Amino acid sequence: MADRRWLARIATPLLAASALAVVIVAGDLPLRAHRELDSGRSRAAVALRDHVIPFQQWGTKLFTLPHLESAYDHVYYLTEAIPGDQHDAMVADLEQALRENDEVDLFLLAHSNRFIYWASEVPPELREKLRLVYNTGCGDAVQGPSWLALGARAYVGHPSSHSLSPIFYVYFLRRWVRGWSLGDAVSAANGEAHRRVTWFGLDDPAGDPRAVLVGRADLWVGGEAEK
Amino acid sequence: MSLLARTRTVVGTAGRWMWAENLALVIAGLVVAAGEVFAIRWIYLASFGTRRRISPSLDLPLGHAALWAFGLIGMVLSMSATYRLLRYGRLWLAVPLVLLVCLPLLVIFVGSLYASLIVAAIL
Repeated sequence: MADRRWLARIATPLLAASALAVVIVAGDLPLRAHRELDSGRSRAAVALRDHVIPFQQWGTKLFTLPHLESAYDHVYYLTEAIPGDQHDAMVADLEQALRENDEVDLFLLAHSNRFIYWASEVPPELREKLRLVYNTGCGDAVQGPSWLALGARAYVGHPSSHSLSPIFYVYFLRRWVRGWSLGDAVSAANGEAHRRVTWFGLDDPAGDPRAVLVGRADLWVGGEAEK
Repeated sequence: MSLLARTRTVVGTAGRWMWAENLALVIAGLVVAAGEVFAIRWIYLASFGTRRRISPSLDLPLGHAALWAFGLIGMVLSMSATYRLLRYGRLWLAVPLVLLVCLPLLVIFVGSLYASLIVAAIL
């Protein structure tokens, strides 16, 4: 029986360690701040979740809000209950964020969308402070030039018709809010997301989680250009 | 023998067998996993379902509370179940149960705690 006791004592923590290894490999490694985020410039984030099932809306908020609050002075988080019901709130929040902060990032956590029309209702002189626009929408990478023309300094979007963008988004946001440069964060998130998809045999051009970046790759969450 | 009496006999025999084979903790772990699924489901429906039942300020704390409470209880139960099966159980039963039930349960419960830490931006 002594052998069984030792088997149990050794195997139990090993099993727990194996479970932790599975979780870490399937998820993402703990990350430390890449640099000091206090750059002396005020910044705000506006995030909009579209009308999807409650589980997705809750999960998006659970993941997104704490990260944004850790890196921005002001965060405006909106969730659509029915399509279009946050139009006035988003335009008002975006306008207020642009008016009261030096830089504003916009996170469009939605299926294929045309929220660019909503943003275009904000006065052009304010839109100059729009910095990064990230859009999870499938195929919405094509909006890049339009967002840059609207005033954004960088745009990250997904070219695939079935973008699997939540996989990219998890890796991207965690790096962006910890001070990675936009180019590095996008590149790392593309690599991590593509690797996970390949593991599960879902490597398909029509269902590609990778995003493309247009505009300034040297931006970072704390400022205009990488220090 | 009536249907009720037969059912009692079957359930009683199954219960005694499970107790004798040290399966009580495994069953408890499965119950906690099911409880976590129901709790999480209740919270997201209360947050973003057809009718909001909780304050928006509770959307995140309640979720994390569920992940931590069920995660911790479930982790202790699954580790205890693993220990007990390997220590006292018959190996032909213990080994597959540990690999097919206890390990997945541990992944779920450790995953709950890890997800809460990752989501809460601590890590």
